[in-house]
Amino acid sequence: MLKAITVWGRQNPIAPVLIGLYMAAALARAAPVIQLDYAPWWDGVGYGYADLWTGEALRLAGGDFAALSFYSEGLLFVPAQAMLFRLLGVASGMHAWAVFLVLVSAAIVPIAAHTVYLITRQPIGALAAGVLTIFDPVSAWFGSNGWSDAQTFLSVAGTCWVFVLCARKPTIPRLLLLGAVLAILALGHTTWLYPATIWALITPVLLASRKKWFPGAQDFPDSGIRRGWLRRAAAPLGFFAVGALITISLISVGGAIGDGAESAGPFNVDRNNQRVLVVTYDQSIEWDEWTPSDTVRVILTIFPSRIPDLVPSFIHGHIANAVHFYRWVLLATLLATFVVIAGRRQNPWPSRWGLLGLLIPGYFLLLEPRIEVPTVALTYLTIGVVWMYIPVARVLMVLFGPIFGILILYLPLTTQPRHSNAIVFLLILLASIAIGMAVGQVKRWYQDVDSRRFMAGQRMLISAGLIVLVGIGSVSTANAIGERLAEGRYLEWLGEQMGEDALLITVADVDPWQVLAVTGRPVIYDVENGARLAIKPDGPKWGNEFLSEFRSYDDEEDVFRTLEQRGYSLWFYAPWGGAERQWFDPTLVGSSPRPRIQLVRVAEYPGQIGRAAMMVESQIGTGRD
Amino acid sequence: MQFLTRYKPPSFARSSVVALALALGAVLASLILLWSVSWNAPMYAAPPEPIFGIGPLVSGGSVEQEFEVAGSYLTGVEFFARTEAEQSLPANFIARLYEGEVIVRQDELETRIGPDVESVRWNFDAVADPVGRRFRLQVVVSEGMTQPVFLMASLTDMLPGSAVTNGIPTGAHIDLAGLPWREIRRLDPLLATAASLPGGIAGLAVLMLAVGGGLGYVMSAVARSPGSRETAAWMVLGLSVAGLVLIVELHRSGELSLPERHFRLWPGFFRTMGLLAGTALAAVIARPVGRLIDNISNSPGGRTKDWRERSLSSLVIVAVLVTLFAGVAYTLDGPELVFVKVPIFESEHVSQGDVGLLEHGPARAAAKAATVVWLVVGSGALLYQISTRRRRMT
Repeated sequence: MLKAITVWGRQNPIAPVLIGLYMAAALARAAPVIQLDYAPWWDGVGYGYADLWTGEALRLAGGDFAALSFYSEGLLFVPAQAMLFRLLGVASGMHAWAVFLVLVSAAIVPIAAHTVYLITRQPIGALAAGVLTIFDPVSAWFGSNGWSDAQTFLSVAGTCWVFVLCARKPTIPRLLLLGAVLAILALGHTTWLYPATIWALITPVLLASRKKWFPGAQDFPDSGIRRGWLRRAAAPLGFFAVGALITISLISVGGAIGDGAESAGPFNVDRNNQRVLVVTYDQSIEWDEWTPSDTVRVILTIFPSRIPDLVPSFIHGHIANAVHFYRWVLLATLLATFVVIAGRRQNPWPSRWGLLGLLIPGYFLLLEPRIEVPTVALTYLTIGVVWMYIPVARVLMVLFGPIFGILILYLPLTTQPRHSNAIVFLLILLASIAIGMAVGQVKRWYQDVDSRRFMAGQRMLISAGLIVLVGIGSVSTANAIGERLAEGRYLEWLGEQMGEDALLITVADVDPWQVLAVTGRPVIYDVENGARLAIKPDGPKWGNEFLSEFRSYDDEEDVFRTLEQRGYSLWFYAPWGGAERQWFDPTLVGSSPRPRIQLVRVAEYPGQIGRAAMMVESQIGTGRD
Repeated sequence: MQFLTRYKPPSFARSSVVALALALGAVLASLILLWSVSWNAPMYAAPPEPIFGIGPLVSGGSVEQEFEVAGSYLTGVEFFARTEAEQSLPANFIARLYEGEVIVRQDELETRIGPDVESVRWNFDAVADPVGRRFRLQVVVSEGMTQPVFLMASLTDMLPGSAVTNGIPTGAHIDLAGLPWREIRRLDPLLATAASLPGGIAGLAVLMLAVGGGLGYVMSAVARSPGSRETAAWMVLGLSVAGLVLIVELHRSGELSLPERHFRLWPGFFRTMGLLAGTALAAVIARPVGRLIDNISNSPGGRTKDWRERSLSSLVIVAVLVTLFAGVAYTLDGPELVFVKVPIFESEHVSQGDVGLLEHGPARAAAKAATVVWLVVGSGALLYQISTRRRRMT
C-alpha cells in the first residue's frame, strides 16, 4: 500500500502537494466559521447584506423563480443555496451551506497552486501559491461569510486555471470551457461583465502567440483537419453562447436581469452605477441628465487625469494591507526574478515587449512626484521588473488589466476589498510564478552538480511546509471545535436556568439555530445589528415577523419594556470572550443615539470562572411616561 | 570575479571543526546567559485597579479572594492595603493560599502601611503547575495592629467569585485587588516556556530541532559541505544558535506577563531566526548571480565579447543590485499609516512584515534610483536591438 502510494506520488509529483494544500486550506478556513468569527449568517462586521441572497434562496427554494436576478449579483450563487434549503430545511441547510462554502473557498488554493505548476512545472512554485492563497485574509473571509463574492473568487481562479490549460494546449473542449467559465464570471457579479467580455475577446489574440510566452506550450498532433478558425473563435463563442443560454433560461423561468436590460441586455443593467460614476467624476452632469455616452466621455477624458492619484490609493489601501508579509512577498518576487535574469546569461537585458514594463515604474515613479509611500514605489518597481523578464506574467497582467481598470475607475465609489481581491490573486500568481521559475533555473544549474541532493532538499522543504500548514489548520480547527463544544455546554446550562417565559437575546457571533435547539426558547438574534432574525421553537426558522410590530417604536427601551409587560423574561447570550458583557447596544428600531441596555448577573456558571447567566435589566418603571 | 566560481569548499575536517567550534561557543554563551535569566513579572497583563478599601479590618479580620492563573510557576501574590493613620505603621498579616480547603502555602508578612495605598507582596515557594487549579488567597490582619486596616478592592470583576470579608461575600462584581506574581530564574523560565507548548519539553525540542536544524541545513548549503557528517555538524551549529536566540529572548522577556503564553516571546525568536536563515538563503541565491557576473566579465565562450553587450550586461547588474537594495530597504523600514483597514482585521492586523530598522527615505530613494538605472538599461537595450537589426539588414 505504502509502496503504491510512493510510486503514485513519484508519477504525479504535484498531486500530493495539491491534496495537502487542500486539506490545509479546508482546515484553516473552517476554523473561523466554526468559531463564528464569520459564517453565512454573520458576515463578521454587521453589514447584513448576505441576508439578501439568503432571502432570495429561500424564495427560490419555495418555487419562486422571480428570486433569480442578475443585478443582485447572486444569479449563480443563490440556486446552490436554494437547493440546500429545499433538501434540508433552513437550519440544516444553512449549516450545510457553511460547510459547502468552506470547501469551495478552500478549492481556490489547489486551483491557484496547479495554475502555477502548469506554468513553471515546479512544486515549490505551487506550494508558494498555495501558502499565499491560504493566508489571503479577504478570500478566506468573503469566501465563507455568505456573500456572493465567494463565487466570483472561485470564478477568477477557475478562469485563470482554464486559460493556462488552454495556453498549454488549446484543444477545442478546453477553449469552450474557458468561454463557459468566463460567462459564469461575467454573470456572477454585475460590473464584471465588462472585463470578462474583454477577456473573452482578447483570448484568441493572446493564445495565437502562446509559444512565445508560455514555457510549456505543447504542439497538436497532426490530425489532418484544419480547425484554425474554430480554435480561434471557440473561447468567445463559448462565452457568448453560455452567457446567452443562462440569460435566456433566466428570463424564461421568470427571473430578472434588471432595469434597463430591455435596451442592451445585461450590459445596461448597471446604469445606476454608471450614473453615480459620471456625476462623481463630472459634477456638471445631473443624475437625470446621464446618457451612456457620458460614461464613455468620462472614462476617456476625466478618468485618465485621476489615475496617478487612484493607483497609489488602490495599492496602499487594497493590496498592501490585504497580503500578509507584503514586503517579503515583494522581496521574494524580486529575488526570484533576478535568478531568472541570471539564467539568461548571454542576454540579460529585457526584450522589446519586456521594455514596455519600464513604463510602469518609469511613469509613476519619475514623472509623478506624488509617490511618497515606499509601498507604492516598490510595488511599481516589482511589477515593472516582473513584466520585463517573465513573459507569461505579462500576459496575466494584460488579462487582469480590464479588471484592474474597472476597480480603479470605481475606486472613489464602490470598490471594496472583496472586489480588489482579484488583483491580490494576480499578485499571488505573479510572485509564485517568479519563485517557481527561479527554482527551475536553480535546478538547471544543479543538474550536473548535485541534482539528487537538490531534489531531496526540495522534497524535504515541501513535505515540511505541508506538515506545518496542515498542523496549523488542524490545531486552529480543533481549538474552534473545543470552543463551540464549551459554548454548547454553557447553553445547556443556560437553558436550565431560564423559565418557560424566557426570551433569549443574542449578539451576532452565535449560531441562532443551535441556540434555539439547545435552549428551547425563542431567540432574537443579532440584536446589535438590527435584530435580523427572531425565531421560535414552533415557528419559521428565518425572518423576524415576531418583531415587525416594534419597528415603528420610537426607542429601544420601549421595545424591551413592552416585551416584559407581555410576560417575557429577557435573557441575554453572548459567546465567552474573557468576561461577561455588562450591557449591549440594541438596534431594533434604529433610534439615535443608541441606548445602552444594562445586564445583570443572575447565576454563576460552574463550568467556567467568571461566566454567568445574564438577564436584561428590567425596563419596567424606567419609562418617560 | 573568478573567486566566485573557482571557490573551493573547505576540507571536510576544517569545515566541520569550524562549525562545531562555533556551536560550542554558542552553547557556552547560552549557558552563561541562562545562568542569569530572571523572570519577575505579574501573571496578569492588566493590573487591578484598587479604587476602594474593604474595611475597616481590625486584628483577626480577614478578606478572601479566589483566583486562577494561566501560566506555570506561581511564586507570589500582591495585594494592596492602607490605614487611616497619618503616618506609616508596622503591620503584620497572615497570608494563606488555599486550594479548596487545603492550605497550600502560609506565611506571616511583616510590612509597613500608611494613609496611601501600599503594595504588599507575598513571595512563597513556587507552585510549579498551577494551571487549571483554583486558589483562594486569605489575608488576615495579625494581632497587635493598633489602627484599622483597609484592603483594597477593584470593580473590574476580573477574578472569579467575589471578595469575602470575615466570611461574608461582598457584591458579585467586587474583587480583592490581588495580583499573582511569578519570580523564577535560570532553568525555570525555559521549563515554563516548554510547558506552554503542545507536548511540553518534547514540543520545545521538536521546535528547536526543526528551526535550528533548518538553519543549519541552509548554513551547510552556504558552506557547500560535501557529506552528511559535515551537514550534521552545521545542523548542530544551527541548533545551538537557535538555543542561544531563545535564551536571549528569555532574557528580554523578564518583565513581561506570561511571555510564553501570549505570544510575546516568539515573535522576537522567529524574527531573529528568520533574519539569519534569510541571510543564509540570500548567500545561497547570490551564488548564481556570481556565476552570471563571472560569465559576463570573463566569458569563456566569448559570446559576449561585443563591448555593447558587456556594457548592457553590466548595467543590468547595477540595476539588479540597486533594485535589490531598494527591496531590502523596504522590508527593513518602519510601518506605514494604513488608511483603509480591512474591517474584520482591525483587531487582527494584517502585518506587512516591516522590520522597523530604517526610515522610509532609503527605500523610496533607492526605488527611484533603480528606476533610473532600468530606464538606462531599457534605452541601451532598445538602441542595441535597433543597431543589431540594421547590421543584419546590411
